[in-house]
Amino acid sequence: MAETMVKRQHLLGDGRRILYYGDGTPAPARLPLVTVVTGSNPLARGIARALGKKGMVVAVIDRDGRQDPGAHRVFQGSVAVREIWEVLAHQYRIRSVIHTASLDRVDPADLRAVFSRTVGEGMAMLNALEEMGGAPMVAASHASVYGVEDYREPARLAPLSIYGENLRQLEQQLRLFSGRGQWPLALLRVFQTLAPKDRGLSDLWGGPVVPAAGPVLQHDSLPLDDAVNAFVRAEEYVMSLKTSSAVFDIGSGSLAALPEGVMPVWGPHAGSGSRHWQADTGPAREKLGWWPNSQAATLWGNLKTREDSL
Amino acid sequence: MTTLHQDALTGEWVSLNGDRQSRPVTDFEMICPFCPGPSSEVGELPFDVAVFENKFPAFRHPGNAEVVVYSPRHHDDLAYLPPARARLIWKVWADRVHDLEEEPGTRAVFIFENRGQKVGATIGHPHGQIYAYPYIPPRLQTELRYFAHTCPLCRDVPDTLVLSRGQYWRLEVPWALRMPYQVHLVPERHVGSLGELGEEEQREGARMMQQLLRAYDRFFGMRTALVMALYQTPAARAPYHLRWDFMPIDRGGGKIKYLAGSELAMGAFVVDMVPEQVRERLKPALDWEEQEEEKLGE
Repeated sequence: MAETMVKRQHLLGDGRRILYYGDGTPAPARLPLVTVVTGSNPLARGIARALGKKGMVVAVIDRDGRQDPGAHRVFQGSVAVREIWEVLAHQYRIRSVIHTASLDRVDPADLRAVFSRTVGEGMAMLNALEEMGGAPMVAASHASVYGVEDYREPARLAPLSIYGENLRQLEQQLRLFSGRGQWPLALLRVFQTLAPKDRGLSDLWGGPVVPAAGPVLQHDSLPLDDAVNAFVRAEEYVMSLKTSSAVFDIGSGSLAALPEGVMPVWGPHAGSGSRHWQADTGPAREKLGWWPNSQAATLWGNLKTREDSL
Repeated sequence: MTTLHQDALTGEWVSLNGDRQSRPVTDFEMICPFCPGPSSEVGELPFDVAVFENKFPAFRHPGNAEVVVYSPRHHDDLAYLPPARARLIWKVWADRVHDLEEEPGTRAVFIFENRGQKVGATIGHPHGQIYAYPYIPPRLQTELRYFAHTCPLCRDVPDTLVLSRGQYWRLEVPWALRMPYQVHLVPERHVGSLGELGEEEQREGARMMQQLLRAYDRFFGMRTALVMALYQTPAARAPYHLRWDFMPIDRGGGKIKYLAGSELAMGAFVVDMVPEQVRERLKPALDWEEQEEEKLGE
C-alpha cells in the first residue's frame, strides 16, 4: 500500500533551511516493555527467572554477565555503565527496575569498594534513569540499615557498619530521586537470605553457612524463594502506585540461632545493645500480599538435620 | 568556512573547516539540540522526520551537508522504529537525494549514519547525515571503474556469504572485508540510485536494514557502534549498482577495530576475520530477529 509523505519547509533563525516530513500517522511505540533486574547475586537471578516464568520481558544487568534462561537479555557490567541504560532506552520501554546490585558481594573491609559499588554506582544509575524520565523501582536494601523514620524493626539504631551506612546513603538517594521525579519506589530491606548450595546453605554472597555449636545471634532469616517472591510482588505493587514510596521488612518474622560470625556485616554486632533481630512482616502482608512460607528455625533446623545425617 | 584543497600527490580532494572544532558534543547534563524545544536545532514544530542544513557543514555551496533527525524522541534508534517510520525515512532519503542532486555543484550524494560516539557521533539523539559532495569521492571514483563494463554485484553469490535473502534484497558479507563484521545490503535488481527503487523494494530494504542493525545489537550485546553508508551512482549518472554498507567498529569482546598504520597511511586494510566467520557468527542473531519480527508482525 502506498504511503503518503507530507513535506513542509521552514527557515531556522539563522537562515538555514529545515524540512519537516511526516506520513500523517503518529508513530506507535513498538518497543517491548521490559523489567530491568540489576545484580550479580542469586536473588537477582531468582527474580529474573520468576518474572520470565510470568511471561514478562526481563533484561538483567549482571556484573559477571552470567546468562540466565529467565532473561530476555543479559548485559554484562555495572549499573553505572551509562551505555547499558542507553541501550535499554533505545531498545525497550522500561516498565520497572528491580535494583538488587546493592546486595552484590563486596569486601566490607574495602571502604572504597563498598562506597563505589553501593553509593557511587547507584548514583550513576539514578542519574541515568532520571535523564530517561525515571521508572517505577523496587530496590533491595538490607536489614543492617537503621535509623530512618519508618524503619519498622523493633530497635531504632544507627548503622553499625560502613556497609550499613552506605546502604542507608543509597536508600536516601533512592528516596530523593523518587520524590523529585515522582517515580514510585518500594524499598525492601531483606534479612539474612539463604539459598540451597550443595548439601547446605549459602548466603547471597555465595559463602557457605554452617550451624555452629558456639555463641549465637538470635536473628531472622528467610529462604531465597521467599525473598524472590517478595520482590515479584513488590514489582506488581509499585506498578499500582502513582508516586509514593514504601518500605518493607522482608524476613520470616521469626528467629533462629545463628552462629556468631556468620553475618559480619548483615546484622547488629557488638555494642548494639540488642542481639535479637526479627522482621516486622505486617506491612508486606498488608500491602504486598506477601508472607513467608518458611520459618527461620525451620530453615536452620533442616540444615542441622542434614548435617547430622552426614 | 569550508575550503577544498586538492592533494598534489593523489589528486584527491579534502574539505577543511577550522570552525567545525566548536561543534557541540552532548554530555550527561547537556540539553539535546535535536529534541524539539525553543532553543533546539529542530525548532518546536511537530514532525516525524526533520532534515536541516548542518550548522557546522563539511560542504556548503558548492555542495551541502544536511542532518536527518529520525524522530523527535531522543532515544528513537532507527533499528527499533516502527516499520512505517523506517519506510518514511527511506522516502525522505530518496527525496533529499533528488533535491540535492538538483543543486548546482553537486557531484555525488552520500547518505550515512555514524551510529554511536565511538565512530564520531557528537550528538546522542539518533540521526543521520547527507553530504552533497562537490566532487566524486575517491572510493566511488575507484568503484565506478569496476562497474563500467560489467556489474560486480549482479552475480550469483555463494550461500557461504549470504546472511539473508529477501524478494528484492540480500544481506551478504563482502568477500574482501575491510572491517570485521562488515555486511552489504544489496538490491537484487541492477539499480544505481535510491530514487529508482520501487515502493515494495523500499519496504523490504527498510525491513532488512532494521533487522540487521538489531542483529548486530543482539550479537554484540550493546548498541553497536558502526558506520552505515549508502553507495550510489553520482549525480551525473554512471553505470553502478547501489548498496548499503554496514561497518561496525566493534569486533567483539569489547575490542575495537582501529584504523591504524596500514589503513590510514596506505589505505590497505588488514582484518582479523574471514567472511565465512562473519556469516557463521551473525546468522543466528539475524535469524532470531527475523523470527521476532514475524511474531510481532507490523
